[in-house]
Amino acid sequence: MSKLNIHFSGYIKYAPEKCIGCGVCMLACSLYHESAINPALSRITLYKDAFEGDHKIEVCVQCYSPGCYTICPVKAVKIDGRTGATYIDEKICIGCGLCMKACPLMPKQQVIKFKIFENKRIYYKCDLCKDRTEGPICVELCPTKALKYITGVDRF
Amino acid sequence: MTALYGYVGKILRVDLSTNRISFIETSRYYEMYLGGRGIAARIAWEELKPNTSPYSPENKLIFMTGPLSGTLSPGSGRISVCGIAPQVYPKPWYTRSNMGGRFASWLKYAGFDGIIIEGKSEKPIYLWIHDDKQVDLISAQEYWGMDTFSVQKKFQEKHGGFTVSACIGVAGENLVNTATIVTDAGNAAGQGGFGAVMGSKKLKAIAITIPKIGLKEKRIAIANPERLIQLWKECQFLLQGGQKEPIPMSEYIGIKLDYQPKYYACTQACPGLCDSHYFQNVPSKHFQEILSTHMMCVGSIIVNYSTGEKAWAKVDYRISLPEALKINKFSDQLGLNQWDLVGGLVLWLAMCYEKGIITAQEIGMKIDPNDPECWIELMEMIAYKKGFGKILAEGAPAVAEKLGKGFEYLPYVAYGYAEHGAGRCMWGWFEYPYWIVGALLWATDTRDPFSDTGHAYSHLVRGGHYAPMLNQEKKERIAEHLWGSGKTVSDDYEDKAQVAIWLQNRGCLISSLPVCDWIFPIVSSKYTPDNFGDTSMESKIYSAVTGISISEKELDIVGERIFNLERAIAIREGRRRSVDEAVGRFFEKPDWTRKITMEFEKFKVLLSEYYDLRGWTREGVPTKSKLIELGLEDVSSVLEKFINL
Repeated sequence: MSKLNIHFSGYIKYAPEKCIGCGVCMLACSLYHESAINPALSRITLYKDAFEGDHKIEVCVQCYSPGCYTICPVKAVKIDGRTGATYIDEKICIGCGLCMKACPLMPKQQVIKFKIFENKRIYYKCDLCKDRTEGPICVELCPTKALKYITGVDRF
Repeated sequence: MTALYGYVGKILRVDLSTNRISFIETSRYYEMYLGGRGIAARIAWEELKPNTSPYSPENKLIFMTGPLSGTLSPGSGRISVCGIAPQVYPKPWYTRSNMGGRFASWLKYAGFDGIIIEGKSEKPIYLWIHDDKQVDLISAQEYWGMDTFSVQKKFQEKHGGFTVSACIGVAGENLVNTATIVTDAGNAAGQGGFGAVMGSKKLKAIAITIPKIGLKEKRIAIANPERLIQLWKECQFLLQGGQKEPIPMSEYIGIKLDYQPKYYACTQACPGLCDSHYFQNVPSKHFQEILSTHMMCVGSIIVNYSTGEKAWAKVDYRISLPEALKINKFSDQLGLNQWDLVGGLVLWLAMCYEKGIITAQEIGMKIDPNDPECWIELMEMIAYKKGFGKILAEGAPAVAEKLGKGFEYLPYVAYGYAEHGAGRCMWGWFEYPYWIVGALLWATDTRDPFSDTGHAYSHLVRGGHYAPMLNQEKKERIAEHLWGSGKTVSDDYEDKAQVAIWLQNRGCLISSLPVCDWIFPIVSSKYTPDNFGDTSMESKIYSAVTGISISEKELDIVGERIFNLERAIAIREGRRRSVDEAVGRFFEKPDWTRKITMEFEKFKVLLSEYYDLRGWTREGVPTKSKLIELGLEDVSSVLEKFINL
């Protein structure tokens, strides 16, 4: 009956007071996942208010009962066995956008995005870099440790 | 066609006289000239006639990013702004400026490597770049007269939150020779007066809105992502030993702090914690305002700055933190060159005023740099060209000329640019003999060289935020490795020319790739056992981003090519040895630290040595064989028509 048997997801914790607004998280995410750099291709987005000096990030919080997971009609939204991350299998995604609608953070926070390649929408979201043994790339590259990866075990 | 990495492919050309919009393929230029400053120089060589007036429709304003802009390359959010610069005195010529922030990245995400603005609009307009490479010219009548912060916020409201703009303030609109182009809260193409060039073209702003979702193209494509990530980490290690949490400061520039500044990445993809700070919500009793803005690099007016008694130009600014923030913010809002104000115009006025050379009656006000109100009043006078401000707006050297006095107190090294890295006043942190290199850089450049060329040397010899303080032995060892002689960092005029050449070629690369010159080239490090840095980093990052394999040496040749092309532009404009040499005169003033003056005869010998090493004639003109060696045959044949190479 150990709680470890349940795949609780880890998540990325943000400390705005340590953030210098460099955007490295966003660039690195886009680079790692898409081999290209563009905020619209990143699973994590940095918003800068240059005039007040405030920054904030938007990234999936990996919620406990992910609506995107339950609603997907083709089971393209999956849960990773190792990290517990909810992710979208791009090969299966049919681009219907239901996941986006089911997300409690959307549309206020852009945590599920899509790209249009060959006239087809493909949705994507943060997968906690499930295939990287070093953990999420944004956390590893953040110059000031403003991002921290909390594993599923530590989260509860 | 091979895939394009790093670059996004097109340069946008906007003719404001005819509203015609066209495109140039970046591939026409990038192999030879890299990007940024390099490509801009080539365009200027081809398209800008010598002796063009800065405010004429024939002048062009060239915004140019490079292959690394907007990528994960450290400090890469930069863009070069080039054209004929009105700040240059006595005769405006072609030069460059650059700025950080996010504008460069946004431009590339939107699909353009650069923008060439030409012609002149009848009415105020702004350029809006949006969706998939859509370009619109929209009336800016309602924004004309607005400050740079308000207009940027208006565009964010109008075009959506993911809009970044570069704009001008009132100073630019009114053609103040030291007007800036501003993006975000104070990132500015500050030197050169390019804000006024924009104003002369009636272009209030360039706004770029990028999509948050629904991208149709993998832009900016990167050739070798894994390698780029690895290199970024290597840079971060060299600079600050890896990831580091910001440590709260107990004091700041020698004063106790009531307000904690934030470390702030003044440009995108900055790998760490440098001198750039941002104060938030600091109340100013004097101005009845809550202030949030930059201080240090992006906000040049700093608290309590004194050059001490020994300095040739004595400065003792006593301004409290909130008031300094207000002055910074206000100058950015008006779009005025802070650097020129703090280290040039105000310093000069204050000295002349104190000595009774210029009176309150002439200026129309008292000059007291310790009084924040004085700064505000002066800035308003200049930006709106009110009263004496009409004359001040031409820049301090022109004012001295007009009044026929105050020359001996001008803190301007040359070309209408205030002292920087020359060891003499406000920003004269260089001791002897380091300012000899400074003098050489100044003498052979077209502007103040210490914003994009000289920092690597100062970091090595004096240390810096990222760079260690080294003992003489270590300095010499690194210098020997870099420049083939330890004497490059020791007491004398010997072996200084090769340092200047290396720095200039690198400077060309730094602003062409472009990256932050505070970071690159990494000449020394606190975190390597022998304190050696890694100067091959630029070529490694360039190779990872573009997939074009290039060595450090090969890339340095590109830098040399760019510098020689810029020199050719200058030669075409009439530049010769006499102009270079005259710069040395400023250095005959005693330096700040030891009251050492320049030995002019030795400097002349050094200058000849520099020309020889450059492959230039003793008149300072690139030889035909040098230009051909660098692949600039066409340039040499044009130059040949009016000068014996």
